[in-house]
Amino acid sequence: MPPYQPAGQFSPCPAFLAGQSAYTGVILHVDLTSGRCWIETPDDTFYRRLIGGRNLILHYLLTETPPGIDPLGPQNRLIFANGVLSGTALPGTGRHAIGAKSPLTGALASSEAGGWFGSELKRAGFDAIVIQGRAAAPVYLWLHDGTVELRPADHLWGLTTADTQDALRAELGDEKVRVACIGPAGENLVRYASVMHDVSRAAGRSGLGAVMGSKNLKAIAVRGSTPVGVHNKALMQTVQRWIGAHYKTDMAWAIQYGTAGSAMENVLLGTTAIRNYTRGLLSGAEQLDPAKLFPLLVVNRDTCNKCPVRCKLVIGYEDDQTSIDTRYGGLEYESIGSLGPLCDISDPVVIAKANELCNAYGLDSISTGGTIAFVMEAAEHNALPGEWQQSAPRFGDGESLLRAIRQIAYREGWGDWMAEGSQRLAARLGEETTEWLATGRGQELPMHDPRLKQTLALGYALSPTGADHMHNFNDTFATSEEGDICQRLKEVGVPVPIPLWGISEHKIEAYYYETAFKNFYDCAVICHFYPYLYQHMVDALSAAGGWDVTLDEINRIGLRAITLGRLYLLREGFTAEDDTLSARAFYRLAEGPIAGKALTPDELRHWRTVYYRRMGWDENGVPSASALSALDLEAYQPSLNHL
Amino acid sequence: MSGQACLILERRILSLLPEGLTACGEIPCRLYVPAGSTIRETLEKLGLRLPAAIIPLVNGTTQDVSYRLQEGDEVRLLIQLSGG
Repeated sequence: MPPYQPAGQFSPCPAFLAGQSAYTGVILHVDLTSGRCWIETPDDTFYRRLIGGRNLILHYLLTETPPGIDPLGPQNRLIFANGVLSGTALPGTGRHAIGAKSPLTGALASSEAGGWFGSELKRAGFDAIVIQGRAAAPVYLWLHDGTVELRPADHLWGLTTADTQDALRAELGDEKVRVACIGPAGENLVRYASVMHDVSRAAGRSGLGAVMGSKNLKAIAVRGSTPVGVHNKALMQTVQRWIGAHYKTDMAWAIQYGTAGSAMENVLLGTTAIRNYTRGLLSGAEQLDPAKLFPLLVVNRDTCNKCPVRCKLVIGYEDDQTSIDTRYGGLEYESIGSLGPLCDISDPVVIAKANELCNAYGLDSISTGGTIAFVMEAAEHNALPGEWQQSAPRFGDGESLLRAIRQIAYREGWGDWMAEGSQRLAARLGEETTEWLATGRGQELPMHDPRLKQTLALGYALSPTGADHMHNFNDTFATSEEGDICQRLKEVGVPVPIPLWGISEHKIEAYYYETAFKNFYDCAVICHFYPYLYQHMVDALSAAGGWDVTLDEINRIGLRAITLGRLYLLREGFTAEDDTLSARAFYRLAEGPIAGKALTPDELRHWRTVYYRRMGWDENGVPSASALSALDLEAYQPSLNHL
Repeated sequence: MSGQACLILERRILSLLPEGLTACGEIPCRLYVPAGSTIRETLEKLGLRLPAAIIPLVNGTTQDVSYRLQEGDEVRLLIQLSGG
């Protein structure tokens, strides 16, 4: 471990200041209990091996926290991590990662967000922030050009996310301050509270907002003025030119409508789960047609640092009954699916209002919708306690959905139960209710139905973060040679296209490579919508760090993240038997586009074992010493000492 | 197999085609094609190459593009987009 330096004014490495390095060389550590700050200045080998993002998060969780800690206790680390490429001029790199031990799953929380926060953090001179401890009273962290200040935040506690950002910008006298913060949900330790950036960009999954709330940390504000350079500008420009020539065609879908544009098609194809996975058809699905939805709700477009695509939407709406605040941005497909069809709701105004509330309170829209849909089904079965049975949210009832979201954020009444997530709720309600759960490792499933996307189902089950669609393999995106996934698979010699249905040795090979690539993206940290190929990443990373990166190295960086995630799971007591999904993932529909389709639990177990073997893990999913050695991860072997 | 199947291209997919909406006079565009070929083969013959995966909905059921068209099939071609 490199030596720590004393607190004070911190300066990036000379190469970064000279515009010759894409990393600052400075990792900030903050102990909120003592108020002490210090920096770590890792060497070049550290950056080249881990790159940043998820690998950095896992490095600190594995080396600085003991097994079995309380995710909401002071020992947990909350880590904001850029990647080496974050904040560079390369489009798609306006992202950063956040991680901790998850209060929802007890496993890894590792979520990425776009916007400007990560890039600004790097311009302020920091690659990452590692936060530990718990402040005695609410505080916020103010970072500006190497200076670190902890300031009181009592006056911010209780504010929504947009009001927090507005108040901080006014207080600091700078409208360009970038803010990461929590809303009331994080303060109230809702187990799926998010951390919001620039108000509308969520590091949504796995309860990172609750970890931030548990530390009494309301916000981090950053401002920096050092441009992020690279070691080899000419080489980086070759990649910039390639994407400049291709994004208008390859990302036309994102330019046109963003992810919201896919909502109706996903419902029609069976991608979006309806009525808590019990129906195949959605009444009023045509209301989600972007040709109708956009004129009704979209008032502007928005973007992230250095991104020409502008896929983000600005939503606004006003009528006698509903007002939607444009500051909260949205809608994304995942939010539409989870707050709409999953709750058997197709009214776009209700869905948009629900999304606004999630962003204002700082709630993960996927787990919020998933938990409420579970309650809606429990209400249908009369499985709720007496008083709640009368007032519970109901399928198709938008008003009850909106009411439930507020109850969750403030833990009002039965909202206190819902704030624990659907799996803990089912445990309180009784064994029979687990039949209605749609979770992986205790986290509500994303809006890509695992009954249609069966390799993705395996990915949901294996993910160290609980069910996650981002660092995963998406069956329906790989059926055409034209797509970027197939182009990448061709680079590594996997035959394409990939069949849609089922899992096979062929699909496991595709899954192996593509999940490694997606994990590389989450280390670098890059927007998953960008269709870069391996060679582009070889050039970009070589340019950023002044290295001679190879295609195999890109793959190994991603495999490192997967393997470190596996070590973390094993260290926290998870076993192969936990690599599965809850009952709804196997429930076969009688109607609709995917009627009769789903893996069986046995099939999932079989392919899980095949994947373990491909990774060099034993039948219990434990990486062998040689598998660790092949990825230069011997130093993390002690994580397996308890086995 | 003799007979025809009908491919239905809706606004979204038409707008992403290089030639835009000019290929069809109406929306959705209905193309009648011979049965017997797979959907992938049919799209290749028609020169419909998109920068994204297409998933067909055949008579209301989601299918792979390797599905072999049968007489009377109605096929809605829907585009699959990244994450979100």
